[in-house]
Amino acid sequence: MELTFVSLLIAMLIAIPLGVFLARSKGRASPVILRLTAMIQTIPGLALIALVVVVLAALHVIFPFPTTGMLPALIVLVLYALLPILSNTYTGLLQVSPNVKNVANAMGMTPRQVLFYVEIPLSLPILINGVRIAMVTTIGMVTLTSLVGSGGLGDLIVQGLRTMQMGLVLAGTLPAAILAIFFDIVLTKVGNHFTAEC
Amino acid sequence: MIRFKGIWKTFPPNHTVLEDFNLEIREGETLVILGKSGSGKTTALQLINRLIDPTKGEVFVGGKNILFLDPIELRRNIGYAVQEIGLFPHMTVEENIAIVPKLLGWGDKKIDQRIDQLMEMLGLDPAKYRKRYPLKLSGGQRQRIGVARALAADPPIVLMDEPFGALDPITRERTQKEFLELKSKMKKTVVFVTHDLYEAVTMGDRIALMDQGKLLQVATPHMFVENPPSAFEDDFLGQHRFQLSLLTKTITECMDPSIGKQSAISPRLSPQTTLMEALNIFREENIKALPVFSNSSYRGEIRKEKLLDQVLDLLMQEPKNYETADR
Repeated sequence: MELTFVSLLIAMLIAIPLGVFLARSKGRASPVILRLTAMIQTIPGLALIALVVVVLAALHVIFPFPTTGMLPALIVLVLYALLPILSNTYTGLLQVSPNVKNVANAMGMTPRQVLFYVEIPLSLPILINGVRIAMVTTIGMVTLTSLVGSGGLGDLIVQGLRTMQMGLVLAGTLPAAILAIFFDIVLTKVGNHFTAEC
Repeated sequence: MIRFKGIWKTFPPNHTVLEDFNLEIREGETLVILGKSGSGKTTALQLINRLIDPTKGEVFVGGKNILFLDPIELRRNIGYAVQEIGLFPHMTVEENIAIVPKLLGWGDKKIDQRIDQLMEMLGLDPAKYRKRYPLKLSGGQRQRIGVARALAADPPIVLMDEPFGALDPITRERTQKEFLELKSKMKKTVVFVTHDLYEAVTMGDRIALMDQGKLLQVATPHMFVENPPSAFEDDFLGQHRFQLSLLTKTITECMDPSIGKQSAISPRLSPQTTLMEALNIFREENIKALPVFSNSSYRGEIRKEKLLDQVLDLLMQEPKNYETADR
């Protein structure tokens, strides 16, 4: 549970400012970075976990981080959550009407005020939708990371699989599924709330 | 009040939008910049609040070269109204109006009073509409909020870019009238951009006609209709001359000067009343003659018959003989 939220929080802290930066900069960096994060998404979850563990092990001589447990799990989850948040922040900001931005400038708002008073509020429904997608995939992924010893509901599923016990598998699966559905509904509601206002 | 001096504006690679643009806008007047899309009229407008900076030349506002002023500071002291979509959809009516006063650091109480005052001035009940979101208002109401927002911090200059463009013709005409009335009560310099000829002659004290980045003519609406630039006349003005004359000609020509007797009939005309306005009043009132007053002193009267005669005269001149025009 904490693992899900911590990784989601870290992903948001990276992806939202990056998305704002990309939307603001008119350079060619944006498509490159967006494609890069999209590529991460295409790597199968299991493979990415294995990759991160191997890379951490290889770096162990220089950085003595733990190669199993929470850290690799966190890295994988953050990497996975980046894309939906980043791309939705980016497209959300770009869909704000140029006319509205023009008026905001014309009224004498500083670039920062335009961002916080106008651009972010107007792209909030799309941004929240990105966080929702990221959260649901993270809750799904987090069970996989128990393979590298991050614990949680995934442990129950893996144990159940090894010992062929339906009860254990369900005890891990059902709460995970219910959690995902619950947060999906909550964040959809929050997103709708912001859309309905305007 | 506002002066453009030798302005050139080129967008990369080499698209010239303004070519040696010179214009002076007087304090307190409404200057309409009239032109087709792509004529450079919006660019000219946005030079005033530095949304666009010139490639060459200088812009003066209140005697100061604005290229040396902080654009943020400058913009907070210039009202800006565009088509209705310019309202922020995520803010309520009161939040929209409060933006510039808040940026200027006004106190909450002062802002609150100002919102009520503006909304009442524009005929919107504050109690009913303050907390509404723009999408829950009609087009005409949104437009009025847009005007209220532009006037919120009481700026001496107001820029309007096709502000009534998105309204249906009837609402549009009503909003124009309301704005004129409002304008007559305030001392504001208004720069108004439009491509609508009728709007230009109704709203403007003077009209600046632009085409392909060049200023063709600056004239009062009346002069503009009587002596338009020849190219423009062939294109467009010819077929509309009669209607435009009604909108711009004043009643002075057909007025019978004061003979001493002063009638007490209620609707009073003024020497600035246009033929069109006079016709409308006669249609509504169904009387034979109306008095003309200027600064509450009696100047004479207008007889309905004579007014109709002049309108007929105007109509007979149509179509104009183009062979005399220079070609």
